Amino acid sequence: MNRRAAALLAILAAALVALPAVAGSYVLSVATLILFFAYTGQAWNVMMGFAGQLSLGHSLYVGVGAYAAAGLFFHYGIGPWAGLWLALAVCVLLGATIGLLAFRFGISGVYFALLTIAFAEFTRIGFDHIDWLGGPGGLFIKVAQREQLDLANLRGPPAMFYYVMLALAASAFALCAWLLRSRAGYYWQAIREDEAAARALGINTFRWKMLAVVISSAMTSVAGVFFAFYYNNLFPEQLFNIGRSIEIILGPVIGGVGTLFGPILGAAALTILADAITEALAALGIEVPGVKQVFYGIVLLGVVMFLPHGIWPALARRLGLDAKR
Amino acid sequence: MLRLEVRNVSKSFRGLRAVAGATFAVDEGAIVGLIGPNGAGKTTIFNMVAGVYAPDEGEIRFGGGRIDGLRPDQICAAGIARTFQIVRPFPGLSVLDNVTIGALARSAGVAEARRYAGEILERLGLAAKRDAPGSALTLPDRKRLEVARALATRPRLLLLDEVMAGLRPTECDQLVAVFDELNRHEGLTILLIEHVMRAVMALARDIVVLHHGEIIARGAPEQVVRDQAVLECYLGEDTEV
Repeated sequence: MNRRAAALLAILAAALVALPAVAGSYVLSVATLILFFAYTGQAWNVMMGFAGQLSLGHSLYVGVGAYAAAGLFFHYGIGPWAGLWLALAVCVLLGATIGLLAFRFGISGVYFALLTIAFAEFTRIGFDHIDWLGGPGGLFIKVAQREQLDLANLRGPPAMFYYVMLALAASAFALCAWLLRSRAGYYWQAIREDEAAARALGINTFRWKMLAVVISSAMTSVAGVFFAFYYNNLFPEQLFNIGRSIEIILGPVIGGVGTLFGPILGAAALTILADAITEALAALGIEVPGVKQVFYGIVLLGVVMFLPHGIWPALARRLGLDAKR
Repeated sequence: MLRLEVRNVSKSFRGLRAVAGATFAVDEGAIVGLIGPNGAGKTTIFNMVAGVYAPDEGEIRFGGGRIDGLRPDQICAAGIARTFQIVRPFPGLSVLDNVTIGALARSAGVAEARRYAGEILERLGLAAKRDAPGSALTLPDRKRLEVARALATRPRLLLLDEVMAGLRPTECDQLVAVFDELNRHEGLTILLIEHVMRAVMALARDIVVLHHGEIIARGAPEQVVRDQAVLECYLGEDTEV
């Protein structure tokens, strides 16, 4: 990283840390949402951007992570920091199962993506029938006492959620930056670029693809735990919906697949613009359902047509930075 | 002794017999050329040695142990590296990153691998292009990169699949000089498939000729090019010399 990049990163970090002091609750909720999608986008990017394995079912890990921690809290009063471990374990197991099935039997590309959708879909249907977790009627955990800070149970004011999500997003960024420079990062990129050539260079592609899936699913499950305690209500239909998976993907796709800043930039651009258009339409008195989705579609089309590698690589070149970071 | 032995190896694809009972050996420090007309089974033999396919019959040994049926990454770990007939550099990665990935096979860490990759690029005359993406190289440079990446895995045996095809005579001679030096000074064993006879004659000390999956001749280059069976398979039966 050059000096200019380090300076820009420091300014961004300072601004993000200072934000709750100046921002109102609306801005803070938008910022938290941006960080949430920056984080999940970063996690998805490990699989697709680094290792070239397209997952269209990442809502699976958000949902299962959310239900695991929320279920423990709801029934036994076990806090999210302990529930996190169950979420991690179950999601890693699920990710490893998908990886094992796909990579052992040579399922790749579009067929791999279909497999990830299938897992998310039958999990959704499965959760509709688990009465212990509320079934289709949903699982509700006690809403946070907004004035009282209880970090151990992740109950507290919006600023607490904001800082937790900021810490998660920053950790994910640091982890991905480190991974990309490690042996794993090199091997993943080799697999992404040309798997047969990677094998010929001594890379056990099965093992490294498994590692990508495991890391990605583990990271995403943590976002699920946050989701459960931030929103306090969970419905299978809403959590495991393929639309959720698409939302996770859009950030990194628009920002720049395989880059470190792409997921963050993409999440910010999409969330801010989508909220802005919702607000603008409300101000104009126009109430059209699904306008946000139409907008997403238009932005996606524009990016694919004019910036096929995403916003970040083009922006980075303008700023004189390394487009790959 | 690290000797490659191919013993009575056969391979069929849906009834088509690509290789039929091929037997030959490559001694440590040798340079052996595998030649034959299109469809003779050269690349199939290569792919069996490199672990892409397992032979239907026969066995392949390297350094005394059997390697047939191992995965490509295990073959690489055993000390055999290959190039691809159709070059496949990682297009989105820089030249240095391409070679670093090869070097990681026998390096403790990324820093060491990058250093070694830099040395290999220097040797193959690619140092000036280390930051260019693999996709931006010309064909001769892509061929060199393919060789550099294979060499970075520090092989004892290098398999070259038509690495000279499409090169101009001077470019071909440069690459021949590189292989010759590696062979003389570092004892690198080379098995090459080659159509460019200029390269085969300059490099190989032994030639194995394949036709319809069977070995029809073998020996020193001068001897093989005068062999009646070889001339017939290349030029037709009524050829007189």
